[in-house]
Amino acid sequence: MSSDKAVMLQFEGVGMTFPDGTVALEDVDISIGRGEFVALLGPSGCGKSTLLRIASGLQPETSGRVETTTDQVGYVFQDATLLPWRTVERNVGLFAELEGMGKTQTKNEVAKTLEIVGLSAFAGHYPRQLSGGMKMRVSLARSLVLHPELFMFDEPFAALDEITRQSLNDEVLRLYGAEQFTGVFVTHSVAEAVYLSSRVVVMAARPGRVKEVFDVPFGYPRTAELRYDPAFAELTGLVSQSLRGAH
Amino acid sequence: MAAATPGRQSPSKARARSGWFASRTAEIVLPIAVGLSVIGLWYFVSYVVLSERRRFVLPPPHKVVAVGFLDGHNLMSELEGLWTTTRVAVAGLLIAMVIGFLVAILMSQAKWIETSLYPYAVVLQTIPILALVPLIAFALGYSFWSRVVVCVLIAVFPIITNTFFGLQSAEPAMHDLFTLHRADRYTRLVKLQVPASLPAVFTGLRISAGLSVIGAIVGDFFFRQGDPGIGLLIDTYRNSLQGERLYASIILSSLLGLAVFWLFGALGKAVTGSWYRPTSG
Repeated sequence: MSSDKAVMLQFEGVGMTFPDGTVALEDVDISIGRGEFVALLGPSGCGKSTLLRIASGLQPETSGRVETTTDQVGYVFQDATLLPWRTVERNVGLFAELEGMGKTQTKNEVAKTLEIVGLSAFAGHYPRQLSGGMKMRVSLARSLVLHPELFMFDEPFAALDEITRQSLNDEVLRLYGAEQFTGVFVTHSVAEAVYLSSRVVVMAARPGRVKEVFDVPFGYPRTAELRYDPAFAELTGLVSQSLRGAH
Repeated sequence: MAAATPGRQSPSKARARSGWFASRTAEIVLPIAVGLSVIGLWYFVSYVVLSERRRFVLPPPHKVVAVGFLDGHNLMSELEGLWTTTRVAVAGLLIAMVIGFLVAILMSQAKWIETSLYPYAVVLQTIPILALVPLIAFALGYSFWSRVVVCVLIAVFPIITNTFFGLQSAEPAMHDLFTLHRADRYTRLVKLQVPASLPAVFTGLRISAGLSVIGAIVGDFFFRQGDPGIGLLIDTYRNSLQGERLYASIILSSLLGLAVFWLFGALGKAVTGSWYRPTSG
């Protein structure tokens, strides 16, 4: 099922129990190969975001093991979490700054990245002047500057309207094609999961665990027409059914 | 549905504009109306309520202006007093800022420091500083600096609490960003917590600046040696029944308070105005 490529991120029997005894995750095994795009799909409370926080080191697991073979990790949160006192340009440069990238190089990389996400004209704007979709692009760009090998997305587009969400999905696919990163994308939207990923991991709640895994047979690059393909509809139907039983 | 949209939009736009106009006019007209009423009431009390013999208690406004402001000699001595008081208030505020920022930053760095210091910050606020003033004079003498100590004691609390609150105000997700990229304590403080704190810091400064002025004026009452501050003048005019100069001095004092309030408001707007909008407006 998993590819024969080098492993980029591996969960081995990962469990997470909160101090009050709530079991958020139980015995999760997922192996993600270099260059794969894996969607973690599940109802709220299934621990999919927790899994990502564990993978990124923001939270420790209470049992099992997580291994990553890179330290160049990009992370996009559900909210854009831009620093309101920084302009778009300086927000996009934040991670580069924290990682100690030189001033000139940061400036160049930021300019290039703003070009890629189509925000060059907004370099001097403050976050409060941007729409929700634009803020999310800035958030993507901020990680993109470092050219991460592993890109984690924690329900990044959940708060956006459907049109904006679809255009950002296309943006992510375009970046995936150009940058060749490994993607892990947490979502509760079946269509989003199938549209983006090469593998959909359906999770169930209470306790959070892997319920079923679907391979997505459509090749990359993908275009918006895929959304109207009968095979796409069929697969989203199957995944939906699996998800329905996951509550 | 689509055809109805423009028709529905324009009345709401018009309403919004007339509402804006009404509020702008009200912002100017209403305070002026209140001001005029106060002056009217002042004249009424001065000429109708008070007998001529007792008119010194509240002399009519034009006399306050004539004697208190337009008499060059009187105005000079009042302004000199105001200047002395201003110097005390500014020195007190500056020291309160240094202490307040340091304490708030320390408290934000470790829970145990917060736990150890915060009760004393609260106690400091509950002590009636004014009652301590004679004691401070007794202990530290009657110099400029003991007046400053009064201002520091009275002004430091709002700076501590507002700065501390501001330093804690960065969202957990923003802290996560810094954690993901292995930012150290100092980087986190300088690039995240301090900028996030600025709106709250300026709120605290505005309160403390006003308090520092009040502290300096009250201090004047007790510190009767050295350059007389405006508070001492107020006390002197009161004792010698010089009502006109008394009210002129009180008006000058409140103008000083207004000036610092405005100054820190403007300063806050200059620093945070480009990215921060208070939620109320």
